[in-house]
Amino acid sequence: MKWAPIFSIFTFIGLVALWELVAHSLSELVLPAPSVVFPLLWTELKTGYFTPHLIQTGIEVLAGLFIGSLFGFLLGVLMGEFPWLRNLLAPYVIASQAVPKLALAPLFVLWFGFGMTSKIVITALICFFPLLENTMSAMRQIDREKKNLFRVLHATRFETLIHLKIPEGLPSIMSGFRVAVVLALVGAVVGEFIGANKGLGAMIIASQGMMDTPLMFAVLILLTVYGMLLYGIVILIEKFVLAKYLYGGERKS
Amino acid sequence: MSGLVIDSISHRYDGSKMILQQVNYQVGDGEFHCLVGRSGCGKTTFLKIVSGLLEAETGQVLLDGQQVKKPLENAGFVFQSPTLLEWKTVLENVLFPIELKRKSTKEEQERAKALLALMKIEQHMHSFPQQLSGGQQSRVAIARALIKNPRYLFLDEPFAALDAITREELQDDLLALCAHHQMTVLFITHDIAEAIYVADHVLVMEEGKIVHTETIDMPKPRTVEMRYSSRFNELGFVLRQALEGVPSA
Repeated sequence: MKWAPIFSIFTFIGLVALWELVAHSLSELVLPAPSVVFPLLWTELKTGYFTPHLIQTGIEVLAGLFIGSLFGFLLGVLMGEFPWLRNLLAPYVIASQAVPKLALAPLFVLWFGFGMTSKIVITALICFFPLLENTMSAMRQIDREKKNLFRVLHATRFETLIHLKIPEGLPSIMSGFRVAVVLALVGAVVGEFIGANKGLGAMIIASQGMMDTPLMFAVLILLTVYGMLLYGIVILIEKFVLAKYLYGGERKS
Repeated sequence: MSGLVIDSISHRYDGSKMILQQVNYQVGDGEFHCLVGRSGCGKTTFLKIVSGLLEAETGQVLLDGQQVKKPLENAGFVFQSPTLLEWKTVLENVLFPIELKRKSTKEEQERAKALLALMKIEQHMHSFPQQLSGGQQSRVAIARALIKNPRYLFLDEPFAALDAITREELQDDLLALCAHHQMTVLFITHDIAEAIYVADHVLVMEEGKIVHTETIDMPKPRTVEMRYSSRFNELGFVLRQALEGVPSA
């Protein structure tokens, strides 16, 4: 579908036009028009009003994503490799995920304060599970004949892990990471909702308090772009750094 | 005693019925043995036990008088699927058995290229497996199995998924390689014609037992004409009867 990007752009223009149309029949407090929101967004970006908030949320997202993904990946590898550890920890991992993490946010603010730490912890917790689940599944779904090949080659457990299980499982691991990237933004913003004086989530709460709906929409647009940007970076890494693992060299052909 | 001796091996998987029952056999050095039988008769289990991938419930496999308890050191293995690592190029796949443990030398890299040339896929050495046809992937798998110049080669229906012409080409290439490297080969196939064409000895397996052995008395190297000879057809008839359980005359 080579026309898909063009259709996508036309769809966007159509949606913005529809938004503009609907907004004119409603109060700006309820639904500000794009002709109000986009100039405001542009002006505030130019003045640097958003910059510290963007940086704050960015740091929380990246730190939480890094910590959560790293621990999720490592524990996923261990639980995939050692059935006894999987049996031991699985009920606790599932229980920890069954608890709505957003409901835990106030508790984390209580424990870790109003600073960045509580937001990073929430973000990390949210990012942890997709990586854990996908890594663990990837470790367990390795082709039996390939495992036999490694046995024939007298590979150690560690060699099999490094040379077979992780590379072979990378497509599944990366799909978990893509989910985690999007969820990381949710984690950071929700953390900021609970208590923060900086960050895009805090700005939404502040704009709500000031009844400044255009500002709220401007922040929402920023968050959407932020999420898409992060997702796009992951896709680029997949295409240019991990291509041979994910596409078997298809890009090189 | 030199060679592989299979001494009364029996096996079953976790409470299932017996897959192998008191199998005795001997594989001499430099010989090409082919195992034919219906699906589920125990061929793959037999191959796994003989190669050391699986330990028999009872009985033992001896190599030069020593019991085989783990995968043989100087053996190559070709599985039913090519089991190539998709993220490595053809050349990297062939060198992988060496590179798993250490960096390959210049000579080993040259040897890998020579093997790929023998398998007629040297022009694809920098391609990735997904860019190759099924037959080409099988050739890479065979080259990989031979990179360490093994004394034994175990093949588990390596050409099962290929078309007839590609199979015949690969059979010729395999025979040339085995003659060149003086290997002892144990080859599993469903295909009676394939077994007769490549093997010195054909074993027929039925319900976990070797029910018939046949020495293929056709000269080597084998040629395409032999496939249409009366002797080839006679051998085919004998083996087919053995597979169908008809007692030999």
